[in-house]
Amino acid sequence: MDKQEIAVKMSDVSKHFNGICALNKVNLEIHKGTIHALLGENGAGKSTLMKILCGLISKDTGKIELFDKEVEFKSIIEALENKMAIVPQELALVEYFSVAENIYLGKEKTKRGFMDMNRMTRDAEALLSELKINLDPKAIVSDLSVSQKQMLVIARVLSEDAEVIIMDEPTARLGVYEIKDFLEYMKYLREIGKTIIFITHKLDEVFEICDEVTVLRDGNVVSSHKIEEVTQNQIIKEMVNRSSESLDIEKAQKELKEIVLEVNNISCDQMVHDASFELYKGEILGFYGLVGSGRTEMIRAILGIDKKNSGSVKYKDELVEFKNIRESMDSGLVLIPEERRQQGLVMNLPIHQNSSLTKLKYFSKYGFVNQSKEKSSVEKLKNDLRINCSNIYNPAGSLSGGNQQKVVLSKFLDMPVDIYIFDEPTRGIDVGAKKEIYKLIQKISENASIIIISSEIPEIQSICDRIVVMNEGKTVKSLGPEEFMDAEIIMKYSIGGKHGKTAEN
Amino acid sequence: MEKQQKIDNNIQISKLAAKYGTLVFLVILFIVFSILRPKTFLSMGNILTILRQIVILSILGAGLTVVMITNRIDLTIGYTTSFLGVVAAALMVHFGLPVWLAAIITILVGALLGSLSGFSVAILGIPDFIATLSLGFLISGFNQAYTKGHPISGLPEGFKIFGAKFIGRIPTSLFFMIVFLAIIYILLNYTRFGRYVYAIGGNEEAAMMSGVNVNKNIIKAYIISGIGAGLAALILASKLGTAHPSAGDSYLMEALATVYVGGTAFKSGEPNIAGTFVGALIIGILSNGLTLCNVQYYNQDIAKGLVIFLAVTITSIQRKRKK
Repeated sequence: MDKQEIAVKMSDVSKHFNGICALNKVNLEIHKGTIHALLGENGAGKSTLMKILCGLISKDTGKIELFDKEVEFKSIIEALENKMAIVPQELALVEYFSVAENIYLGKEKTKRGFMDMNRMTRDAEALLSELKINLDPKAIVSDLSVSQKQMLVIARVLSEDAEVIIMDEPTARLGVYEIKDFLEYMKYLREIGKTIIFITHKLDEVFEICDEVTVLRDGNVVSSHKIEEVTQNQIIKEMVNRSSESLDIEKAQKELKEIVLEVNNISCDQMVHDASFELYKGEILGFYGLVGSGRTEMIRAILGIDKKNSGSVKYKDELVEFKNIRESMDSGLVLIPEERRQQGLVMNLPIHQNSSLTKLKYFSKYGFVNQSKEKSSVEKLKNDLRINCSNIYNPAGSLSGGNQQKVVLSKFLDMPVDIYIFDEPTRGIDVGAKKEIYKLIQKISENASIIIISSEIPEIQSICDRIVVMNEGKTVKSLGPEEFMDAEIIMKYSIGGKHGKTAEN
Repeated sequence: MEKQQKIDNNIQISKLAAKYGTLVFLVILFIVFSILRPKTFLSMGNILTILRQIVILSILGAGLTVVMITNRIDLTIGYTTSFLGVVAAALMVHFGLPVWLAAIITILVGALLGSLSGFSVAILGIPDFIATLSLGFLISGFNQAYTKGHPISGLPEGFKIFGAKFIGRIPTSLFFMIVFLAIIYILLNYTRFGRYVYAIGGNEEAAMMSGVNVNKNIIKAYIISGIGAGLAALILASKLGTAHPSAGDSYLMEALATVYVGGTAFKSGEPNIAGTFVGALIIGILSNGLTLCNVQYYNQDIAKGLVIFLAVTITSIQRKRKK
């Protein structure tokens, strides 16, 4: 096999979203017949890069060559026609159809205008056995396991003669044995000459099957290595975001004595396993973890939004079991959700109605809203938070991202709260607004305890008093300031490297 | 400069048209019929007739509005109206209850049926369309089984207060309509409940994450719709002088139309009470005007369909262009 033939070559590919740089002049070469790992923190640009490659989004500048031919795909279908395929995390299959019908979706075999089921089943059977995929062509997709569905998607792209296949975290949802089988199958694909781009967070897998590895950070390629020329520690070092952008946040020295919230061995379906931590009064506690580490899921289970299977929550020295978010909110725990558009705001309603939605009971008597009380509260919050709007009666959807986030925050101020939980408080907002949010969080912490879920290491380093690292649903480690200032340590724990595991080669 | 001004003006006009398009439509309709039938259409008597004709429609529409704000639908209201008319008549004629007690029980039964719909949709999680469709069939079936298809007549004289009495020239049913619409208007615009239903309709997940009890408020919305059906049933039976087991069935589609037409009237697409009333007026004026113009009954539906379609089209296109 000639490993020097280049399958994909990207030169100076850049992409901006709303003025924020997602990819900065990325250069990448992927050799034919290899498995190439793409590593990086959340938001490093892996997904953006792959979406550009397979035509889901367009690049701003740069050049992409596929087998020495310049390409610019406008859709995933066009990419597939040119032998470039993606196996996404969200598997798009028609659940009601059989395996065979899904393979031939959009290219059904027909006989006088009618579907020729027999032929499709026969062909699918031949195809699957040729590909060494063990699936019954007649099985209904909704009966398949996640790993079987994934194999079906792979079969579908292979049936289109895909040569380059992007696998977006294919092992994230698989069990231990399924992962083993899957990795074996990847090796088989390499044997038959396919080129695979493998996005993952798991270094073990990278070292087990990959030939080359590229690390992305903040939209830049940090390095590309042949796997035998690199160690795990070196890769961790490269992944870590050592953003020099000074956040200028002064941390007050705090005495942490009184425990407000104590969580013991919480588990819930699949995503969270035996998570434990404690939160002190007045503390700002950060939660770091990579995608799929179960941070949000754990918090949702604590607050009663989702069910937990086991474990206990002690709040102010009392065991509590919140049945829904209203109960936890009434007890003084609030969640400022990550998805502003989906969970934070009612975009078509005015700013003031959004801001007061959580606390109408404080503004109303006999069910009637005291609108002047409401107005003065919202006006005050608008000034305190410096929400930039001409009028609090404008729809929330008319605001910029940073201002929207402030409105979300304002929903939980001016009401009695003991614990604020922020889920990615600064995602998708610009640097100026970020700083303002940090200052607000610090101000809030004077009278309350705070939990911050964040995927940005500099962010939690600069505002948190302590950091808990999660990996695959477990709370792996609690780090004090002297430890967490070293970003490599955070990364090491988040990637599942227990002490011995990341030993030097 | 001048050009820019002109563009700005155009934008202003199209904005206004988008916002008040349906209202403009109502005015045009009014003017057209005033010109075609100046003597009959514009008389005080006829205007009161139009209002009287839309009482039931606007009450049902008002209840339905609350449900539709939550992004859900209530297909039971027509059948419920028929059924509750029979309930009221049976209570008075068969059980000899006084008018006031029968009326209260009827409305309570309406609330109960509403809560049943709400429960099925919110708690059991049945899709609103099929839940209320099947409940509607159930209610209608019980109704037919109980009455064997025969109307109940012989309603007491006192029952006329709901839909067959006049104070001077003003029909009493108008007062019921005004009170009911006013209550719903206040509920929607001045209470926590109103805020919650709009929040649920705008973004259910955000409402939930803000601590709004989504299920409870959805059930409340259906209860209001059921109460509206109860009031409409009393007025309808009183107006007809008899409780016919399918008298209210046909109101469902028109009520839906009023809410849809009304949703485009004031707020941008969200159902609201003022809009629903405008929607009912459009339908009322249309029926009345067409009759005065001697359009045959069977041709009126064509005109009605066309006009509703047009009213909704204009505002929809405007809104699309705005985006």
